[in-house]
Amino acid sequence: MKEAELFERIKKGDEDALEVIYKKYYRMMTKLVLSNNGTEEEAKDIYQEALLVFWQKSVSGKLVLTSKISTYIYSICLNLWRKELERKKRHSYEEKDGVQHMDLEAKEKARIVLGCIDQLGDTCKKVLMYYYYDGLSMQDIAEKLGFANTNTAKTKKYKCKKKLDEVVKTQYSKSDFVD
Amino acid sequence: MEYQELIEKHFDGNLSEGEASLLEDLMQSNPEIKNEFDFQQDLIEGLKSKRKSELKARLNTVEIPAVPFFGTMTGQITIGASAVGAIFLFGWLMIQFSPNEELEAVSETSPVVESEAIASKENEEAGATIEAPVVTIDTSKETGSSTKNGVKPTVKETADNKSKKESEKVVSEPTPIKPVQPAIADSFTDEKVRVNVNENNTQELSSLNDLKINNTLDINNITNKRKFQFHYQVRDNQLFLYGTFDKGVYEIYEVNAKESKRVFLYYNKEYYRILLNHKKVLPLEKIDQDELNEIIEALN
Repeated sequence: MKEAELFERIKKGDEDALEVIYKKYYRMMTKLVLSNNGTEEEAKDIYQEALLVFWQKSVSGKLVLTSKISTYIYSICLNLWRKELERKKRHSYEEKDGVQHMDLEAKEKARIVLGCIDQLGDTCKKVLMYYYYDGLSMQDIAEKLGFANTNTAKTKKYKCKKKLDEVVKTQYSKSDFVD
Repeated sequence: MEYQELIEKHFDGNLSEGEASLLEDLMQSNPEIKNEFDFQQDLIEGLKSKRKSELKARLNTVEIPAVPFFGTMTGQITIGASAVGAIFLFGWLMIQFSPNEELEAVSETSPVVESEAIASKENEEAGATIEAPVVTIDTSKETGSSTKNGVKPTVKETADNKSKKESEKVVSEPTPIKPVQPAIADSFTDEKVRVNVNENNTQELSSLNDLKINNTLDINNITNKRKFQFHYQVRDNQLFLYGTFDKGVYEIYEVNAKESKRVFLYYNKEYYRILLNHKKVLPLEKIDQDELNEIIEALN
């Protein structure tokens, strides 16, 4: 498959095309981390993060590709790994107690939210995730999920979001996260 | 515009600068608005996190083709090391078992051979010959001293000398002969090496029936074998001497009888046995004068 064709499919939110790219450049990208003091797991994680950045920017229409896909992803990998190495370096100087306390509260909230998302229907989850993470337009969501039109997608998104608000607020109240 | 709408526009990325400023003021003045903003942020972060996990889970199911062993760094190192090892092993084997190549190298420095005819009278009944590739023998005098079954050295080789087929001598005197130590040239680097044999020695030499002096063995000195420092090997009608021999002169005596042939090495005033029917590298074993005489006698 040609690169231009792959990119077009990615822009439309084709997850199969994402898999093709992932497989195609896996060794090339992970080698960057592996040859710079990274583990196999770190290498894979960095590559996946970079690929998802590429995915988000492509699907949301924010990316105008002027280089090869591999070059773009490679540069993201490089930046992410540099940041990770800096974070590791900083980590030893941080006061862990305060950070841990904040992490615990944030983690508990995140756990509640994720639990509530799972309570939503499959369509609701997709609409909200496509909208907030992938950055798909309402038109693309409508096409992807087979809605009649953009308005249907907008309405669906509004209702799903409202429902999630209610469920999470209820859970937050039980956990004393709401004042 | 209500604050909920401002927050929604913020997370949609559609907030103008004025609206962003307004939202900032509202959050600072009203904790409830700030809490609502944080709440919405938790939801959207949760949705993003959920989606990201889904995509990563999908990517983790993608089967990455295994890199062939020779494609990995470990594989490449292993193969490279194996190749280098094989080359070294091959080279070592070549050095150990292929002395012919060195022979050729050594042969390039042709030795200078000087030989001189001894009183040669061929006895038709004689069966033994002594081959002398590098020999100069003086037979002008005759003395009465003799040793039974002695062998007169008639062959001389140096590290620089070999293949002296032009120097063939025939010795024939029916009296016992005795090994005579050759007079070696002053310098090992001297290309001409002489063996002086006095008249007595001549008599002794002639005691062997019809000794012929021929040159049949090519001699090669190999000095770069650590394993073999004072060894020899007979192969393909060539004698390979392993060791530095103190860079001194050594001599090879070939005694040809009718049906057998014996070869000896003379070095540092000692005789050493050379076995011709072994192709392996063997250590040089010293033999004393009496034993040497017995061997020569047995040849007759």
